[in-house]
Amino acid sequence: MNVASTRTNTAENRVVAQPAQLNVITRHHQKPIPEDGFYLTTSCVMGTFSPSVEPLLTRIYDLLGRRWAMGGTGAASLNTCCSGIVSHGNVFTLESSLLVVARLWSLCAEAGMENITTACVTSFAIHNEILELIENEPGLAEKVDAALFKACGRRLVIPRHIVHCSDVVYRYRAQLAKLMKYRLVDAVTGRPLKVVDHVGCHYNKIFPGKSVGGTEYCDVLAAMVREWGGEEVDYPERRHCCGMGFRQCMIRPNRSFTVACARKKFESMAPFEPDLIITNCPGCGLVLDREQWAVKELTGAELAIPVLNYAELAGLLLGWDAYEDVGIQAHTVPVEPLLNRVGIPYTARRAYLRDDAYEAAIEVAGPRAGSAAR
Amino acid sequence: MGSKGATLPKADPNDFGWLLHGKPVNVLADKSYELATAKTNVAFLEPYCLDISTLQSCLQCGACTATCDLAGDQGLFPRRQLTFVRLGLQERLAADKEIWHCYECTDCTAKCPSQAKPASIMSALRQFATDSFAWPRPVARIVSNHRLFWLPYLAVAALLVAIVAATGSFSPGPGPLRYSGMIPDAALIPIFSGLTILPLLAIAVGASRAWRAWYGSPLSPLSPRLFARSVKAAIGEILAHRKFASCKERRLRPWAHRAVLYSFVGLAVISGVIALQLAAGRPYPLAMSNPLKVLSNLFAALLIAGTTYFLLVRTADAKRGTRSTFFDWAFPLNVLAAGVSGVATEAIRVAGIRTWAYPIYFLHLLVVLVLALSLPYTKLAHAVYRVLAVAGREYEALTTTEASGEANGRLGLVSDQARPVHGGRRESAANTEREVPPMPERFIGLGHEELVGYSDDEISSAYYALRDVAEPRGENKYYPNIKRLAGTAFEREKDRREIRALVSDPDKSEWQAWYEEATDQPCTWWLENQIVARHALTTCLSCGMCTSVCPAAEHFEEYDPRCIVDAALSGDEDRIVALLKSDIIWYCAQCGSCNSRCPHENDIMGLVGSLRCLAQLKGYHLDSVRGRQQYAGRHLWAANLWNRAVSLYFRNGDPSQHPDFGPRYARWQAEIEEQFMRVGGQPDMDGTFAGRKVTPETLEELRSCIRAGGALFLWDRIEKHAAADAARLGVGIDEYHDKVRTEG
Repeated sequence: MNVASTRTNTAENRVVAQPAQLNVITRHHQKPIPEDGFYLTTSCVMGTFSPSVEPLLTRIYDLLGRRWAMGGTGAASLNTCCSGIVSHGNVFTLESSLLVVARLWSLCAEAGMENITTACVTSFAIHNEILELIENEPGLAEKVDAALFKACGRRLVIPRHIVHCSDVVYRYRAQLAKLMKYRLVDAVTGRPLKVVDHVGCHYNKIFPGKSVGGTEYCDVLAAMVREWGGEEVDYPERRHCCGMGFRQCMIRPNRSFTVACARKKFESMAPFEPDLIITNCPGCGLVLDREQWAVKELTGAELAIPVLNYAELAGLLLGWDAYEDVGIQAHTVPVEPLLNRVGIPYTARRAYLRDDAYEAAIEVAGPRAGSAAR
Repeated sequence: MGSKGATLPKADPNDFGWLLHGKPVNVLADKSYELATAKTNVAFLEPYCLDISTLQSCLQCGACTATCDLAGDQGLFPRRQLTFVRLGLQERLAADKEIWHCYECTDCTAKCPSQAKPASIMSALRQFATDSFAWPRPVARIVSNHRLFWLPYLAVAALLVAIVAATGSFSPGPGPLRYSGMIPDAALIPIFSGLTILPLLAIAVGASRAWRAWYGSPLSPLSPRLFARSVKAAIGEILAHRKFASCKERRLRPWAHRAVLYSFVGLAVISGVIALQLAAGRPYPLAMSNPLKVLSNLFAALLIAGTTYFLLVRTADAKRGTRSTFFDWAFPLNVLAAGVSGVATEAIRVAGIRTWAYPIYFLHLLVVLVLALSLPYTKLAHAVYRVLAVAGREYEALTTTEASGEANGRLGLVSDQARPVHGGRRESAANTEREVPPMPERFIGLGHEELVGYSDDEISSAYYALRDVAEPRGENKYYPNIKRLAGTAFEREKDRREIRALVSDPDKSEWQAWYEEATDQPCTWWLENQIVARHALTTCLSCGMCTSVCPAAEHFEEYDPRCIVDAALSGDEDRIVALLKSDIIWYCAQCGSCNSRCPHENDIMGLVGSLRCLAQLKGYHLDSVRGRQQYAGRHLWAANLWNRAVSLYFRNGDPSQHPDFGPRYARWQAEIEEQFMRVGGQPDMDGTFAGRKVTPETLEELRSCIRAGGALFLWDRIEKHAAADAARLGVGIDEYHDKVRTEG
């Protein structure tokens, strides 16, 4: 994709004007987000590709003074996968998912928490799907309870709320903004940075009513962007799937679909020259960041738009270390140019641990990295 | 995070813990960034490979190595070699013994996603190495220069003319047609024998140089007995073409190569025998019914057939855009000319066509002599270098085995630990060996067929003993064997048996019994009774909103969720079966975009998932290439869940599987354990976050839940269908796994 050649696709393609969108969100798809008692479930995709995010979330919970827990820590950890990927990879039965999720709910109650907060959007959808079935299928709750007890001696305890961790950050975005050392503005010009969002499909498409703003006007990330100083930028393919698709991304012969979807999104957002893509889904963050390399290789388009998870963005703006805490070195698209824009200091030499890493980091981050490091 | 204060272990710079089809890949991580930014200079290979520029498109994905059945634990070609070429490491490449293990079956080229043509580059590397070993070099320079190609022919022709003039006649007198009238046998035999010594001497020097380049020492084995065993094993391996026969892309190629090899060897031996008979005064020519004559005709036919096959393949490749060098064509044409002229010489003699007999015989002598004299410098030299390389590998293995007291290691099946140490991985394996009994350790490298003789208990106890081997890391424990077990054929075999035993247990759950019953019911029954399908659809307006918003429908022309809903609502069993046997249901990305737009709130994504489950229970997925991929999915996601309580194991993001993620990603992955620990993860350690090893108790709870929900029955069905399909295709289950994982 040649960015210059697609510039004709300009701002008139914007679908929604911001004030109207706010009204719509006010009218529809508001959801209850609990203030406390969070049980954090982990994400397999994050655990593979973004290992920093879950620790960041717990740190954010602590910073906000929330009461939270995980099922045991360290060697006593009890958390497991929610079965989202095996389920959508279709090598699982729904009944097995029922029990795997019910076990996590039992851990939540055991830890003294009332609400599930999922780090992963597919977990969010699976937990909600199980809840819907249990609520709507007569006798299922009893059956699950009995089977769970027989399998592992636990009882079915339905959580009060099932929310995504981005919902929690959304709720406390203003409080976090007060704690932040930096804002999403250009440190030199003072202009808000242009941010496009990509909300994970399993957050707002499977159960639109359980997301902030629903499928069409999802505001969970955009509200954070606005609150933290940035400019929310709409783009035509904002709601298009990133293309991860479980068997598409993870079984190599099917990966063309993933790259095609990602490319479609990049082509759509490129004319608006965004400074950042923000996501709330580990899979979307993975695809939109890593596949920029594939799109560059395939089309020659060097987009280099940094992609951050909302927790990573919050961590950076809170002044947490870019490499030691946020782990930006895991990204394919260098985040360092964004840090330069915002004025967040970092030491490029520390990106990688091997001796020859410094030159590489400087090269990808640009010449300002060196001065920022000093 | 607690792990942050932990001391990071000093990593071996070559050990990244990468596994590719169970093989360690220790070469690229530290080079990928360099490769991505370096200006590649591949000019040194241009004389040997006109398509060398295709190497620029190499993404370092490792598909070539993963595809290659010849690349063993040690020989991680061709990716390693492609890397070295791009880095311009000429000396290292010339001294690389691994290139001689490649048979150029072209499987790697067929599977290369970026058309980098690794097989052609490996072939070019062998010719490059042949030139570097050549002696005497002036002769090599002439023979390998296509502008001077005519010179050897002219020289040999002049020599033959001189011999004829001195000892025979260009127009022998009347009488029976005898070629000895042109060159008497008494002159031909010593001259041929004398000329044959020259290439033998040259190739002996070349072999000596090659050995020195490979091992840094002269070709004087420490143990002649072991070396003799190694050479014998190498010749046996090469004659049998055991490894070459696993070529998947061109199944005729091993047979054609066998034909050429056997005919070369056979004709050389027969020529020697006949020469001895002539020297002993036995009559010549032989009668057509003479066994030697019959055999030589058979070999000649094989030679012509095999060479013709190679030329036809090259012609077909040329039409597809593969460019060949002058010598790529000249060598097989010369071999073909030798075979055809030999047969023609005999046929003309039998037919008594005197006019053509002597020129054809002259031509035959000419091409055979040029072929023999140029042996050390042409593609034919691989016959010697390959034998030497295979023998060297066997010799290494044998000497190491004997040194370690494992004298029972037979050729070709030497255990992984017994192989020589090349880097950190071998050393760490040796360290682990001290803690783990030798037998479990050895299981890691074994596949289904090698494990057949072991009981379920032996296999599972070995697996869990290895999994739980721990060493301290900071305040936590680190489990070094998890990465060695994950995704291996050994793990698949363990899972296969474990699941089979649990599914067969009479104490089955209610849900498993339901799925067993459902498998034998019609598809329409499933749609009315399965919990997801039953809730999925209310009614359908056929408005097409689902299709209009579906990213898969946009990408795959034949995918249309509206038609899937229509088929499900039709109640037409045949139509549903046809749908389940197609690729169509496997295109859905499960994003749920359809659900969000459906005016009747149908769960179309759920319906597709439910149909996929049904297809696998009934085995209909085998009819579709994308359906068959489920076997790989089962042993990726479900195996991770069953063994590690996650659907994705943190090492599944291996850059060898993700060239699309770019060099920075590879760089991060090269330090994956240290980087994970740095940001709060616990790679293969006890812990709470990314990469952690869950406790056996937690895993057991999870497994009980999975079992009670009936998923094990589904896994067992997938396994049984895969086994039947593998048997139908005539491949082992491990090969089947690799096949379906890369098809589509």
